[in-house]
Amino acid sequence: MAGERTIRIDALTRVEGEGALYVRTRNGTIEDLRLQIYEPPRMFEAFLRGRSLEEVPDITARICGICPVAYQMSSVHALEQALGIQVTPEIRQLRRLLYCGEWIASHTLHIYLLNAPDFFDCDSALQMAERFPDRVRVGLRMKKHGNQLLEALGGRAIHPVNVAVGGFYRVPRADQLRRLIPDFQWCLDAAQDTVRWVASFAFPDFDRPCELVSLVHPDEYPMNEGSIGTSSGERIAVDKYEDCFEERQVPYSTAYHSLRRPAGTTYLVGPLARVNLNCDRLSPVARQLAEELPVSWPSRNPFHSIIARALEVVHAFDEALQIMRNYREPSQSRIAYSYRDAAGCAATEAPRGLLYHRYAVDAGGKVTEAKIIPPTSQNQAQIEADLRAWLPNVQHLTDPALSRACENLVRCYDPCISCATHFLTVQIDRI
Amino acid sequence: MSDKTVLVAGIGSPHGDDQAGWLVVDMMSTTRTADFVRLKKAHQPLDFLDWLPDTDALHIIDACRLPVPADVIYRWRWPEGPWTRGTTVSSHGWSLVSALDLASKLGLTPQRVSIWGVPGKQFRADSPPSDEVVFRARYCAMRVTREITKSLEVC
Repeated sequence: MAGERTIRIDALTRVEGEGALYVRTRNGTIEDLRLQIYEPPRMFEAFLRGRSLEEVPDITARICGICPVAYQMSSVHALEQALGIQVTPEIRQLRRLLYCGEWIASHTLHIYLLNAPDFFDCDSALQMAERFPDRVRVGLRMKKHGNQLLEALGGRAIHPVNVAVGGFYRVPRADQLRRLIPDFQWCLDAAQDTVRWVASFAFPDFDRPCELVSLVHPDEYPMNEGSIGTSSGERIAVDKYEDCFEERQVPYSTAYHSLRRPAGTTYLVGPLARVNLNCDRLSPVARQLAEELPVSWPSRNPFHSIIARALEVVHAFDEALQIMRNYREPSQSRIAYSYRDAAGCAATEAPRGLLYHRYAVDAGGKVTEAKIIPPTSQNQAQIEADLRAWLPNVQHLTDPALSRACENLVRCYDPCISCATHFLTVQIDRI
Repeated sequence: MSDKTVLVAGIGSPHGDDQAGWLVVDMMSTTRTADFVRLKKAHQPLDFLDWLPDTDALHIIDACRLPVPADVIYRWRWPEGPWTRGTTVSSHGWSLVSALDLASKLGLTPQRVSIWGVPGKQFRADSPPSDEVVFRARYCAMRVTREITKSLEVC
């Protein structure tokens, strides 16, 4: 299309938070493209300073209503490293179970209500529900059971209150978890059906040569332990994270952009990166399903994220069932500890990707420094780079259709912009 | 017609008068209610979709912003009411109306849905509810209880 063209999406919808997209093209060439997060900074790192370290998991959980467990997990692991606490295998397993609940609730919400509507040209989850009521009912039922697991372990589904430094304030009774098993068996079947369904969607041919980053672990699908792996084969110890990744401020956004150090290149975190780097450590049911799909792994097509997410739902139900079937109440719910002047860091896998926390604490148990790098800010620069590559494919479209195509791509990443600070207004200028 | 299962869902947050829905649930939980009455606190309207299957009557209590005398609460019978429909921007952004519309598309809407609005005036972060809202919540709890009891009498 000749001349200047401006596309502005003032509020991106069906993402978590508030942001906008501005695009200006001249004679078909992109002159400017900005993913603008305009939600004000939320200052969590600053107001953690001076607080008792026991308050950290509950305060950081408030960063996100969708993935509070991730914030709790990264924070307690970082503080435990600082204090030299080694949790028991039983506590560690209960933490994986809690994370399964969060992955299920967050992923099913994103698949059914936020992302799948894009593949059917539905403007909203309500239209999706009208056209596919049975599918959406199944999705909401899986989400409900994920929430029940969160309630059993966390005390409540949103902003759980039971995660403590050293373990849990209270461990669940065996019968509480056993009651969930029949529904989880039903969900495991439903989740496999969801994978086959989303894999049948019409996906654009859009492979991106991006670097993939996620935790990797020799024995398990990564959730809250491991080193940082990349698609170029690096293995980075978590305490070297800040040597290998850096955050940069951009003038048009309140969210930082995370880049690889020293090259300053973009990278991708989240379900697609995780499945690509850890496909062989998915649960047996999920792994077999991944091998049967008409998608070959590794895939660098961001639109395939919905398949990766659905595979992780299968994994989470499968692993949760294994843990619940073998569960015996542990004799101690948490490990005792003493305060000391120290620092510690940890990375865990939030539903949206790698979440890094670092804390320094003093001998009185107070936080003296906090650093939190959420997955969405790590994906921010990659999303922008992918949009630049995506635009030539859709530039022939009318402005409304082009705006929609851009939003469709952004939603693939499950950008929880409320964590990064909140999404999307799109403005496109075609000159 | 009697209601075999009743769900009372209080929607709220810890911020000032926005606690009204939770207060009503707390007040009702201190009195004896029948086994078929479930009392639940929701943080956002989408939460109560989880609880709708097998529910015959639903009472939703939420705070609202309306300047009225201290002894006034509102009650609407869904789908009647002064509702406006906007764009749902995220899962955080699901309004009460969007959540009830979604329930309707999925065939989950109970036979009877009542929405109780408890007017509030201050919603400061982490502040306690005003005395007026505590008073209205108590009145609302009494009205909802009476309504449930009445449905039993019909039986």
